[in-house]
Amino acid sequence: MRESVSAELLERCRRGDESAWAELVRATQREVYTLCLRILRNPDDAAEASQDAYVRAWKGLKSFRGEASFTTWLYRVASNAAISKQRSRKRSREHEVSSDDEMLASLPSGESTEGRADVRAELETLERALRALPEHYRAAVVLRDVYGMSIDEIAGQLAISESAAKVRVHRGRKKLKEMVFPANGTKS
Amino acid sequence: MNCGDLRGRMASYESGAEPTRREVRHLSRCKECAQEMARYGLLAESLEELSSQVVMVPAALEAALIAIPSAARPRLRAAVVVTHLRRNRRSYASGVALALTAGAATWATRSRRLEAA
Ligand SMILES: [Zn+2]
Repeated sequence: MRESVSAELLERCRRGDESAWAELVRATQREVYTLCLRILRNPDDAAEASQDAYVRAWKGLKSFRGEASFTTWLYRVASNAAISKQRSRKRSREHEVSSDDEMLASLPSGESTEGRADVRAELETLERALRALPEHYRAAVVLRDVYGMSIDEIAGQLAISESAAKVRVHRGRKKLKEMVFPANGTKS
Repeated sequence: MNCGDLRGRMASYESGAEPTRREVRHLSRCKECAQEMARYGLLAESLEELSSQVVMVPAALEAALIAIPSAARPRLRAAVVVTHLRRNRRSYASGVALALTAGAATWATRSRRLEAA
């Protein structure tokens, strides 16, 4: 995420300025919601996780010291909320609700690749493949390869060891590669 | 170095990491491995590119997110204090009536105890 929140806006939010908060939400919500959607796949769950993330962000604003960029911090809070949601969902649901069609309709809105149909099609294929990845690989690959989080951080978020996190990322990548480039595919 | 060993490690390359000299030598001679390596490279690039792809947020969610600060305000507690103050108007000093926070409520309770004592 590019830094879309200025220090000044952040300071206004810290002082409890609600219009500044609305501005902050508008500047970051799409990234946060998309991250949650990529991990959870289900729009309702992603909306709930986003809400949890922003509640934590609002409460945590005062303690946010700016050692990392705000958006990096917000991503961390968001992935944390999404992973918690994933855990509670696992406990409460026998079957994963399939909302692929809903999500397909919404992903991606494609800001950066507008007008490049070939690239968009490739990214859509990739998005689809990511969603087909088993849940435990998906979060690891999304956080590492899409959002550039460190293995150490992913391990912390998923409450697993670093070596387990590495294995998830590597296996996830391998599976993803097989899906995007089917066996002995000629695509290069 | 055989193809299987090298391919087993490809998924573990971090984006931008360089393969070892032995691996480079193998890649220069083995077209299949080179192709496989290129696929992983392309995959890494595309995944990174996904981070700039975002979806629209449902309007109801946006509204809920914006409303978080007002939802967090201790409205209920303040209302309770107001009612309490109205009922006990005469027994409180006028300064207490201005304060509506939970802290003030504690203070008011204490001052009432003091009055009773
Ligand atoms: Zn080879």
